[in-house]
Amino acid sequence: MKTRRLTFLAILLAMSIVLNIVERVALGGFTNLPMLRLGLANIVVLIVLYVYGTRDAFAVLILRIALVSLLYAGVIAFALSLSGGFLAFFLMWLFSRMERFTIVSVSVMGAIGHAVGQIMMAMFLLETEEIIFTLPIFLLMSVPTGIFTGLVARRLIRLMREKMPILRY
Amino acid sequence: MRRNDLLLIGLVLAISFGLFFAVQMLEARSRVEDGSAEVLYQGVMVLSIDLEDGTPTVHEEAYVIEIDEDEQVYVVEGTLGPVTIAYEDHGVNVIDQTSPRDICEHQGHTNSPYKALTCLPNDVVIRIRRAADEDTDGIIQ
Repeated sequence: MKTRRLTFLAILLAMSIVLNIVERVALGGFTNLPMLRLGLANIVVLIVLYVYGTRDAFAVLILRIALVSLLYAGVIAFALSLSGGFLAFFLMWLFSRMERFTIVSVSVMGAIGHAVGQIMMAMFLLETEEIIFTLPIFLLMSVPTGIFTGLVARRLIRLMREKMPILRY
Repeated sequence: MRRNDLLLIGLVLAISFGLFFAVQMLEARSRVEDGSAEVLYQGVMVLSIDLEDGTPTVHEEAYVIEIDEDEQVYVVEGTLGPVTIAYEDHGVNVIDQTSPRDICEHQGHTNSPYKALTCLPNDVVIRIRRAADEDTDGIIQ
């Protein structure tokens, strides 16, 4: 059982890395808003959070950030991803524990956490407090992207539970 | 989605739109024509551009690559390569630089102290100072 779980988590981690790189490289060209990111890799973190639990989801998030930074991004991108990732994970964990909210709200809060965490780190790195004034536009973009990733994650979790019960644990 | 989800998303949207319009108003009201644009590289001011007429003042010669006073285009050092800044309409904008997502160019034109242009991968920031603030700084120093 443990090996199966480990294998599946490793596959999900690989998927999140690929989704992250695809989003950075390919999807960036489709929009005139380079700041706009769908957060596709967060779909995987949401799935792991709901299917496997907090500890595994946190491990997948941290490993994804570290591996993408080693493979593709630089030190600044690593710092931004880490701060955004930590805050996003904290909010997702918090809201996932409140039963009144579904995965869609959890995903939206994750997207907000990413935006706020990254802006805070950018303010710290550049020692420029004026960056805070970009926050509203990032918050506005977080809502549709968070809803999108939340809906996709919900659909995939349903499919996993129906079609692949062997992979559940 | 449940009712609680819709309420939460509605609340987030309301706060975001409120903040967005507040910042837009603040930016529109705070535009200056007589201040300066300060160009910082790695936290150090390397160049300032007078917003009244585009006159540049070099602070760190080692990091200023080129100054074209006729075209009012200034090139400074960035971590990934040169960052090209143009003066236009009592404001500045970044017209060329090297970075993975070119966010810096997309930030557009600024002459508001509430809108700084940040080129994070290049560690370059352009911020606007009112003439009154510059005078106060001088007195304090």
